[in-house]
Amino acid sequence: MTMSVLVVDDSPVSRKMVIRSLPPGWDISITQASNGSEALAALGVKHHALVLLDLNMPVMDGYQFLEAIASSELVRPIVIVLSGDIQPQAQARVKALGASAFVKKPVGAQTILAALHECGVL
Amino acid sequence: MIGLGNDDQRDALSELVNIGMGQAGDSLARLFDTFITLSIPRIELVQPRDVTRAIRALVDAPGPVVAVRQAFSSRIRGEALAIYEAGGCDALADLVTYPDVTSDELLLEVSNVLVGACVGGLAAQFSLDLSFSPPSILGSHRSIDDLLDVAGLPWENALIAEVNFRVVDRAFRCHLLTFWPDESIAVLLRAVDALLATL
Repeated sequence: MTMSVLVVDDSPVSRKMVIRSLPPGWDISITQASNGSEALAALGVKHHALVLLDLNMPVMDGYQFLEAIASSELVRPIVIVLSGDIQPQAQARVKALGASAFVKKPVGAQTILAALHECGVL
Repeated sequence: MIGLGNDDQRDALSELVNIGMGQAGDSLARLFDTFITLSIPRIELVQPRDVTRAIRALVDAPGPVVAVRQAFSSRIRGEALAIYEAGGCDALADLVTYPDVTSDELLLEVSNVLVGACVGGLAAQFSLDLSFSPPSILGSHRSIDDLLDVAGLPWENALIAEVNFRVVDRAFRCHLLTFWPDESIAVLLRAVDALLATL
C-alpha cells in the first residue's frame, strides 16, 4: 500500500535533497510543507504515516510542531527529525517530544535508510 | 558585478550555511556545556557602500559591542566577523570556570570555535580545506558604527551570511558574519549550481 510521507522544511532545496535521498522505488506519495504550521494543516486534511521534520524553521519550528502533535487529536505519525542543529540536547529534546529518530544534515541515502529501519517503516 | 542569480542559489547557500551553523552551535554547546539557540541564517549580497547599513540592519545591537575578526583561505577566501553584545560577554564569563582566562581570551577562543565550525563546515560540504588566521579583537566596547568604520572591509562586494547564537537563560548573543570577495563568491556559486544540478 502506498505510504503518505510529509516532508517539512523551510528550504525548498533541502526538501529536494531529502526527497532525493529516499530509497528508490519505495511506494510513497509525498506532500511538502515549509513550516510546522503548514505541516499541521496538511495532517488535518489527511493522515500521513511518516513525517520528515526539519527543526529550525520560521512561523512554527520543529519543536513546536512536535508539541502541537502531542496535544492534538490527530493520529500520531512517525516523526524522523532531520536537523542541522546537532546538539545532544536538541536530539534528546525531540526524542522526549515523541520523535522516533534523529538524522544529522546533510542527509544521505544511507543515514535516511538507517533511520527508516530504526523506526520500522521499512 | 556578481549577483545571487536566483532564489534556488540563495536557498541552497542558506541551507549549507545552516549546516555549518549547526556544527558551530554544537561546538559551542560542548564548550560551555549548555544549550545554544540558533537563528535562521540570512544571506545578503551587498555592494561596498551598503555594507555598513546591511550589517547594522542584520545585527541590531543598539549598545556597545565587541568584535573579533578572522580570515580564512584556500581556493576560496574571506573574512569572518563575530560581533558580541558587550553586556553578554560578562554573562559568558560566568559560564567558564577558569579564573585565569581573561574575557578577551575567552572571546577569541569562542570566535575561533564558531568560525572554524561554521565556515569550515560550509567549506567541507564543497570538499574545501580552509586555513584560518588567528582571530584578533577588532574593537571592544564600541558602537557598531565606530567598529565598522575601523573594519574597512576590503571586498568589492560582500556576500554576508549572518547567523546568531544565543545561550539559553543568558544574555550572551553572537552574530557571525562572513564576507567573501567576488572570485570566492563565484567559486561558491559554481559549487551551489553543481549541487542544484543533482536535484
